[in-house]
Amino acid sequence: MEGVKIVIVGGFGVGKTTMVRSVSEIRPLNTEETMTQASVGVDQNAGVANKAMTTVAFDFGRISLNEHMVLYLFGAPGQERFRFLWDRLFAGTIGAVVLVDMRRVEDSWHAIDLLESRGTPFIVARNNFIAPRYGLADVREALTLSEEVPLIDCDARDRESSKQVLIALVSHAHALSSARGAMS
Amino acid sequence: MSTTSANLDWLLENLVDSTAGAVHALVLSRDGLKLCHTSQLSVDKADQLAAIAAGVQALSQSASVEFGDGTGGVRQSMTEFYGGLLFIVEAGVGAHLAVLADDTADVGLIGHRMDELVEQIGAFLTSPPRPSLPSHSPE
Repeated sequence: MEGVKIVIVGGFGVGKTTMVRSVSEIRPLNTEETMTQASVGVDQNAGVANKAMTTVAFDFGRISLNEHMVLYLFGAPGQERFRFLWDRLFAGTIGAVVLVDMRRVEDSWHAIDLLESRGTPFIVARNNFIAPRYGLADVREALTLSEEVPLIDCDARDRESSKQVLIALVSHAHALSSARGAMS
Repeated sequence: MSTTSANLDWLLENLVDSTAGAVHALVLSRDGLKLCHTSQLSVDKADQLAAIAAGVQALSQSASVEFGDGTGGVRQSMTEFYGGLLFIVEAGVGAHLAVLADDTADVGLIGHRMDELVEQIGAFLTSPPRPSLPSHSPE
């Protein structure tokens, strides 16, 4: 049985905790806290006005893809003040999922920049809490994402849809490492 | 409000001054933002400590849920590192009290003084939930 570590990143309120909860086969670690009046003006919830809770450490869950592979999922916190946790979370990962909410696409730029500079394999998944208005080609352009990075649609609330995102990441990371192996 | 905040600052200063080994004190919201702190702690350090302490408390809460007896939450989190100690306790609604101490500090005494302060003024050390906004109707 092979265990691999995966990180789910993205901006504030994009659905990272939701995705870990949807797919985890164990009770997920819950470090959500009530959003308090102290964060008014700091944590902008435009577009997700009914969001009442926010992750302040990290999410953790586990899913077995088959009898050979089990994924350990770490969901990073979205707000800038918790970025100091990111480096530790990335240690030992095979890759990352960047979740994008098209209502606040700029929230994802930081995550994408960071992954590109670290050379960590990643895919981008557009989380459709609401029906999408634009095609994926528009999303790729808005994110100035290179053609090599897979970009897919998902619904983080749906277990099967979230699982497909994780499978896409594992395949992408595997293809990259095979390509690197072939070059050397 | 500023009067209350000034009084809280004074109480935190008093806690640090009157407790051997205590260096800084900070009150933070559960979602990781500083509410008030002692003056020797810089604004940047206060912001960092608020985020760290919220994370520690959230993980401790999960430990309590998974491995505790289910009768309550977290009494205290304590971290010992080279050069110091970090203590965090629940304060009023939505808030935590954090104290940084040097490694000469008496662990029992610091915990006791923090509990005392929360007992006295926990009602003021709060960060209530945001008011729930009416959801926007689609245009």
